[in-house]
Amino acid sequence: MRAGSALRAITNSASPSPLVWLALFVALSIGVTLADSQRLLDVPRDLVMRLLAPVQSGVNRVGNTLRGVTSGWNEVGQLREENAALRRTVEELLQETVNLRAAELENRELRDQLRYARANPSRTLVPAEVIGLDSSALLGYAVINRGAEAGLQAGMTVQTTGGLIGRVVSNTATTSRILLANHPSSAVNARIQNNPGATGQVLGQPDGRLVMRYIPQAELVKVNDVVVTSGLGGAFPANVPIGRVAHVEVRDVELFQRAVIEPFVNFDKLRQVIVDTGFVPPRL
Amino acid sequence: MKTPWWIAPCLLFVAALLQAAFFPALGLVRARPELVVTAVAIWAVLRGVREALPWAFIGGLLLDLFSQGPFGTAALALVIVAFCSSVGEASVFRTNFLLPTVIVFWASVLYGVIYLFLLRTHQMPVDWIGTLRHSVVPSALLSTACAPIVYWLLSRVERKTRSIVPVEW
Repeated sequence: MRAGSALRAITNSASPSPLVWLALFVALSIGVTLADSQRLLDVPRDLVMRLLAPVQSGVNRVGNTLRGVTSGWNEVGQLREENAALRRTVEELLQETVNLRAAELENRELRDQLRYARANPSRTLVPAEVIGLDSSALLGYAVINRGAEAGLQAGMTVQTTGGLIGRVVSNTATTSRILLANHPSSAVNARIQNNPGATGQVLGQPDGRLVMRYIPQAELVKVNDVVVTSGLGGAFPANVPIGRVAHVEVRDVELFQRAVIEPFVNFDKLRQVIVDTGFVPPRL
Repeated sequence: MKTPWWIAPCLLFVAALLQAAFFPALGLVRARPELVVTAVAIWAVLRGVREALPWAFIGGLLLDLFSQGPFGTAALALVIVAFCSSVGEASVFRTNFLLPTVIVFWASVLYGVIYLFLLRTHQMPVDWIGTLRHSVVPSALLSTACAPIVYWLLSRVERKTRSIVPVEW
């Protein structure tokens, strides 16, 4: 009866009160939310996104170009420092490459001896471009220009050549939504690369940093230790690099220690990413 | 005194597109101007609640579309914000850009709070303090900074459309 009266008030009155208008639009919004939760809007939304994705991509490119032009002026000094740092990194990496080659040979011999089937290294990787971040900055999503048509599914891992970015949480035919690893609602099971016992959970922070929590007190964690995914829980494949330990917080009164992680990926400058379509987390 | 129907979708589409694709590319990631909220709040001050509510609904749906969040969430938050912003309509200072600018700040904060609350009702984890500190309030300040430009633009639109015969919402 009340709904009927409200409807009559809207249709009969030439200028209904603002509260009636408010009730009408609140009801419309809730109706849209309910229709979305019943997945009734998936098809039209998919169609609209199909049309909008190129526009969004174009606008994003214009922004990136503009940013490149303006930031170039300010970056000369920074580039000098970066250049020196990169030279040092190259030297370190050369040494690391030599060590890794030796380790790889040893690894091969051990695998042969134990007659383990070599784990299939053929990962199916799909390159994609970040075409937008969520419009409100509250959800922590990025949108990429590949979707179900390229074989992407919810749960797949997204990374760059540098390290982990996050995972696909939903997709349309041509776009996918990525939950970034540095968002507060993201949690990734991780471990210290050189200390398999030092496991924990890497959680995003509201300021965009990463923090590794629940590391057992007994485990030694040092600054500059590399943090990788542990593969525990099955949500992410193991050994995807996440970042380096920047700071360790140990308090005697607490059960666990915690570490601030400096991610390998700059989440503010995401452009090209890779989606591992060969890894789909098992549904528990 | 009503606006042709196509003005709102066109302006809000551009605002939502800038917000979703252009600003992030400029490096404004965790905090960025909420152009759609700004436009809706200013329109509520200039033209009142009856015209602002359809703007809010359309703008909210566009934000939902670009954010790929739960559909209808931003629309609902923005409808409530538009209703609250329309208090400025009654003020004699509404033609001075300072009042709309102040209203934009509080509208952006209110939008952030309502949006976070609605996300919580969708069972999504929300860090209230952190998100308010690092995202909602900085975004509101950036929106406030953009408010004079948006006000200038919308007041021109408002003047030009004042005499046009309306299409009823």
